[in-house]
Amino acid sequence: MRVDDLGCTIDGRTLLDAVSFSICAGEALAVLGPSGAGKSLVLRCLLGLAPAQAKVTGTLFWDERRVPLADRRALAGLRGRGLALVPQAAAASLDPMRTVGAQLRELCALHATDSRPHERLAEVGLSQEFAERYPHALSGGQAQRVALALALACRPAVLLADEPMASLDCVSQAELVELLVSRCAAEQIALVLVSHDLARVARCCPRAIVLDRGRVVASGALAELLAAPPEAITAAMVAAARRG
Amino acid sequence: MLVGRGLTVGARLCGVDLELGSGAGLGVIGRSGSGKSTLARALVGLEPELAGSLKLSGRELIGAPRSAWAELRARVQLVWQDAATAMDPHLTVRRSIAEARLLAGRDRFTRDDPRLAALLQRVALEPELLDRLPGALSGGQRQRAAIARALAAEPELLIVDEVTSALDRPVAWTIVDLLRSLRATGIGLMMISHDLSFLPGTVDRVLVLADGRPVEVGPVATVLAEPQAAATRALVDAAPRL
Repeated sequence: MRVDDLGCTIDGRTLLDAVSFSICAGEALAVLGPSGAGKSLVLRCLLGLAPAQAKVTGTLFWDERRVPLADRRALAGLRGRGLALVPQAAAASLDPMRTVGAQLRELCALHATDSRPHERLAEVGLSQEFAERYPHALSGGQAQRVALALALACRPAVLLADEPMASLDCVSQAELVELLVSRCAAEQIALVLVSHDLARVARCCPRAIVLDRGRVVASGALAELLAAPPEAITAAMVAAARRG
Repeated sequence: MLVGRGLTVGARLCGVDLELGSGAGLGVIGRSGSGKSTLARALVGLEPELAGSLKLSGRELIGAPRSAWAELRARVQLVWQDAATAMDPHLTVRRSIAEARLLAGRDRFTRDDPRLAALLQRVALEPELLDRLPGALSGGQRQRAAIARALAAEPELLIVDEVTSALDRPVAWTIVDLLRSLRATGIGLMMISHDLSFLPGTVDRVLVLADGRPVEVGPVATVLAEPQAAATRALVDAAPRL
């Protein structure tokens, strides 16, 4: 997948400007930056879910196809088997009125993948018993695992993970990152991991782009960005991650 | 000032002992669901099931009439994890601060009160933000406003529950630096944090909870460098480092 020159404006305000990056099957790319940099908006634009009043420009190159990022209908067609999202607030993204198993079965049917909820749960380290649970009976870490199981159930080519560890304790964070990376590597899924936790993603993403105020201010091998931050935002993130 | 013995809240918290006072700093760590937030809520009277003993300056609060808790609410303030939902979205920062003073039985700030200016300076919040609603503030500004609101009650003890978890790390450090500066002025601090790196230099001692029970307590440097309990070791091992 290649994103070329993604831009987004709302009411004349430029929120994203000339954002470009590419990712291959099985690769993990970190999207870093301070709060408000536009990280989550990039994912929403790729999914065709930018705010209704947003004007989105740029092109998504998908295999041999060229998809205008303004074409929400074409992007909707890619959701599921093409692009799947693991949201930040997993518990809020689940249907509170239906069991985990029912939600998994629905998603598998929708995207014509094999409908075996128990196997999908086992992939993310949850026992069969969780299929009968409602979202309110899940801890934060369990809800994130269910959200990951739902995303993986689509068998996507690219997994977009939006700060999936943000509200978890550090043990759950480490477990979730390990799970994300291992599942994506095993199934050759490209992983785009949005995070502001540089220390956490440094272990799992070889490559990164850094956003600030909607623009890419740094990109390249994460090890090199850490060793020699090329500009002030990256330098501030590295310094804050090393402090303490 | 605030001494708890055998603090218990149903099955969520069991047998916690602690002593909190002016100038003292206690960190509370543990996995999600370990009872940290329950403890924070219990200490400000928001857990009706609280059992054991909780004394404020020698006066027992558990079983005492609600009026006995009023004094505690003026002297102990809780800052919540998510300032976006903890602050009334319909009140400007100025009115939130005024409300906190009213509830704590303090006198009203006048519009140009030098104490209000000093309060804003203390939390590094620009005066022009006073008349904004919480929704018009950035995450870091909102958390500073929430801390300003708590300080407006002139508490002796501040309890902060994961106040950095929604912030990016450079902004989170500015909040931690603010908490350190408040401690240096004599305010007691109980800091709940998933991020262990914020604790050294901010608190003196740390209490580790697992499944609602205390499993380890001691000086922060010792507990983090030589964890004894399995739950503490798991937290220390999982902390990311560059």
